[in-house]
Amino acid sequence: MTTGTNISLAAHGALIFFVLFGGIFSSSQAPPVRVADVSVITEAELQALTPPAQAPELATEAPTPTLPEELDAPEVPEADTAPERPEVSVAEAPEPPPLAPNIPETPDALETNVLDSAPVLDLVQDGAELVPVIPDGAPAPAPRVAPEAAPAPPPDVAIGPDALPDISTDAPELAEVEEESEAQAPEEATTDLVTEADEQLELAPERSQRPRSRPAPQTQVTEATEDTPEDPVEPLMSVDPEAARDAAVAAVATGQTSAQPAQRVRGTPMTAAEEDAFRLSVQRCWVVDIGSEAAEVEVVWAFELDPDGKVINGSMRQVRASDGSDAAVRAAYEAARRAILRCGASGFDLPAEKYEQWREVEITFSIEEMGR
Amino acid sequence: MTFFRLLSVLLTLALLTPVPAVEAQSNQGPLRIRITEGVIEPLPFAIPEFIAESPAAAQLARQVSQVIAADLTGTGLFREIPASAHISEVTNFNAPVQFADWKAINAQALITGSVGVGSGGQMTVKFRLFDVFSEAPLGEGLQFGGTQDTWRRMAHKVADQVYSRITGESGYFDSRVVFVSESGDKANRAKRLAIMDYDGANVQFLTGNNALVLAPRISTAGDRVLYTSYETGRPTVFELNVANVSPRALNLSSDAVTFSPRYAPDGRSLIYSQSQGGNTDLYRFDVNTGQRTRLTSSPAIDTAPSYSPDGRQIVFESDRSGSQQLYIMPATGGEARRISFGQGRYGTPVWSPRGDLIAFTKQNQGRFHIGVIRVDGSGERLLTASFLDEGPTWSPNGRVIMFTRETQGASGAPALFSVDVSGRNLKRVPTPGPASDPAWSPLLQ
Repeated sequence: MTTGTNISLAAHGALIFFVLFGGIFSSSQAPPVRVADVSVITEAELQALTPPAQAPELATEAPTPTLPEELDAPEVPEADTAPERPEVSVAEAPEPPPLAPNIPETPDALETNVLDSAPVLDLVQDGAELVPVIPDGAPAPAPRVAPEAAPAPPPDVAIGPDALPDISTDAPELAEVEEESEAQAPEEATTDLVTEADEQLELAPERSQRPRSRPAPQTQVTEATEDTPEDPVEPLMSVDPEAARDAAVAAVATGQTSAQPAQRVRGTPMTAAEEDAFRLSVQRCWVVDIGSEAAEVEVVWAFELDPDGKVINGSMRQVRASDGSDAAVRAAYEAARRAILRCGASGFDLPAEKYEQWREVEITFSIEEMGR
Repeated sequence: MTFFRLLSVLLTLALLTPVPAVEAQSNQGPLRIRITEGVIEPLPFAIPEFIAESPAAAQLARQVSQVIAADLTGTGLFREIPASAHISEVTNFNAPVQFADWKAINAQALITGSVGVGSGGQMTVKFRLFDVFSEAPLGEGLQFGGTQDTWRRMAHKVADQVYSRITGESGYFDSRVVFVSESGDKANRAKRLAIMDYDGANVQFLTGNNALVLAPRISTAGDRVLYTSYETGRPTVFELNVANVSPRALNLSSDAVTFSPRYAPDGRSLIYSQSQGGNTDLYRFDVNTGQRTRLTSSPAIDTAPSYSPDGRQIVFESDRSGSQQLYIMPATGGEARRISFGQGRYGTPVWSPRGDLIAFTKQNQGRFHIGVIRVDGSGERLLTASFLDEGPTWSPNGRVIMFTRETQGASGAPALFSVDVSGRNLKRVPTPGPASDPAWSPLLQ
């Protein structure tokens, strides 16, 4: 009995000594376990932590560059360098039916001609000096006017001939009043809809609010962001210590040790803060037409970025859209595309060392937080 | 015992095994971002003055460009970048667009065009629309032809096309508004029917000032107008043919007071209120046959009916529940379903041309509001608030509501205002003088 105990003590002691000083379980290849104190904080607190430089610019004012002395006008082409133009069948525009033939003072009906072949355009074809030359790198010439003529619309309703003559003499006097329309400042950009009725209800608060507690310091948990690729909008995530331990035990059970780290397919992942900054950089350019059917349509764009953060030409692809009329879906896609291209014109500010993480991007545009 | 020893050894080994770093799943797909909030601001666009194809077209080209810009900026959805900020100059309608120059001034849309005049007072307006940041045209170029005195309509049509291509909705600029033009003292005010372009231009009068007129309603084809007149000494519903300005009294009833008429979407019948013996109910009148059909028969006051765009339902106001509320019933009559449940009194409901919303007037706590509510009664939103707002009418695309706003006091006067269905862009519509009861026409053909 004593022998067994001694052997056991000696073996355990040797094992502990070997573990402590033998270095068999230490590995220079394995990264140390990083432990971070993480807590769940609200989005408002996250915003408070976010540096002001990351705040989105809600309103984009057009710069007012000075007019250069020499305008970069399009180059006037030579006749023999004119590009090939499609054959155009010349169709005579239909005569516009008068709105009311018996009422000369009322507007006539309009033709809606979709044509490439109006007589005036013949002059364009004949005039060699008007044919554009496309220099290298210059944008493609604008397309010709549509080649097919639309059918003439039915005659419009006209105001009758018996319009009271004594009243019609008032017209000039009315025109002066018409010019007294009030000039109004354009409404500022916003993310919230405030109607006149809402403004009436804005009253002073009945009591002061208690100051908010200081938000907990934000700690970026790189590993934690990796397991939520489908929901990258969450600003912060918590790491459950027990879950981490379970994962560690599971790794032991599967034989995965520090000598065999998980292979990262695409390098260091984006942090939540980096993804949030990217999201805000697109969001500030997404102009939403609240009230339109297009605003109700959720669309998804996919595209690729070059290492400078610029959208690669030809890479933009419409992934999917929610239900809506064709026109609404098209308008929703276009508005989203404008947001991507406008804010990414000079390249998105993304971490260069994580290029593989953001080389391919898929953005969903939905107004779910704007109130419908 | 052996089992426990073995277990203890395994546990010891497991505890002494270094725990590897927590490796989350690697992101093997694209970086996925979800944007759930955008900005509400006007979309900047540039419209260089349209090119005059001849010296005679110079003034028209300038005017057409200005009207297009005014139409778009008037929606509150677009903002014109002034010409002084333009870098590129468009001197040729067919010249390539220097997109970089327009990007530099943040123009998201570019409208180019030209105007030509021909013999016999004819003129043509051509335009193209470009998405600057996509460096591509938005739709095909179009050309409109007409006489020179229709230049405003051609400008409106161009603006409608631009609006439609960018927003995905049809426009509303080439439309008219019938309204009641008022003059004189507030206590003794003369009222007559007038018609104008949606933006207040081209005002013409349809009736004289010898009789009080009220509540004009324009047909869905825009060719006829219903209104109530006191020409005969008692309120009588008249129908006016816009083409020849010839009114005729509709013999809706020989002994009862009839009012609040409105056309059915097909224009072949109308619904109206008839008051008799202290009771007011809804009736339908077939314009061709003269047949009358009673639709409601409650002891309450049922009035202000309005058809749904498909003509299958009617929304109206009624005090059958004790207070004035909104109800929907089948167009043939039958059980009515209440859709408004808020505080205050609801009235003058008008069904949106899109069919999704109903505009109404609401009176609550001494103030009047114009609001909208979904057909199922949800989503009530008040868009305005003032001393007196009433009588909403929808733009042809169901995006804008025009209504009457009257100011307080002895010198108060009614005026026409419009507001976007989102509640933004509240503004006054220019009229020759005091004006009320607007009725927005459909888009002109």
